[in-house]
Amino acid sequence: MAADDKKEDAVRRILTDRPPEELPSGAEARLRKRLDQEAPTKPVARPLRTTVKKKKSKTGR
Amino acid sequence: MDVDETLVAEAARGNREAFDELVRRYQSRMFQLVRILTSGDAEAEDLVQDTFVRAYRAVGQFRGDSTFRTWLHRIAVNVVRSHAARRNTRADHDDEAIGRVPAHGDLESAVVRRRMIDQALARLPPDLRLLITLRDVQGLEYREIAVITGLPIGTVESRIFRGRRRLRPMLEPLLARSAPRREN
Repeated sequence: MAADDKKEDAVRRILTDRPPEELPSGAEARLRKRLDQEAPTKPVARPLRTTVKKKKSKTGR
Repeated sequence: MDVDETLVAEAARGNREAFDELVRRYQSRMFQLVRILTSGDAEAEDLVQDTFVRAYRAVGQFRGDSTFRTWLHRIAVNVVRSHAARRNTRADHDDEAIGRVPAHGDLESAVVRRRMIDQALARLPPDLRLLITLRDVQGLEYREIAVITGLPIGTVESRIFRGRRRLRPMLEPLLARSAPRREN
């Protein structure tokens, strides 16, 4: 069981240490250009909070 | 508020520079994710672009129920799934290359190591590949993966365990080389 755990940990470590690839040259500029064609982000208008007046209770003490 | 939260809040107000900074922080990670999930598809860069374009369009509605990182991964996974459905094929990996065992010295090369890992991942069923990649390559938490995939956390854990077991024989040449890391 302990040997199994060790092996699983070794697999996890190999994956964690996977050498990252580099982005293709110019990828960031190409993405920026595509985003330029998009309309600017608009925040969603949230509904205003309206306060509802509570009716006064008639049963006074 | 962490850096991502600040940038997202700014981007949601229409600050394009803030969104560009988010791109700089996540583009490489998204490229890595998409490359693995599509088994090195040549269209990976386009798919990463689609991911960020979708995020840009929707950032104004981002409610912060999850972290930006989780949200972005979820978008990327959906983009890849749509792409796969359009193609209607499983990843077109190089089966011939999978069987090839690199020469001993080659295992030191980052490119060879990466190729071996990717080829092993490509042989997993897509659902296991996704979970293992999110956890072990991308470093996400189990609860984040549960949010991204919509699976119960227990299922995520057991499938990742199963996936690692299946990877073992495929990564054997690398396992033989890997010495346990010394803890400080």
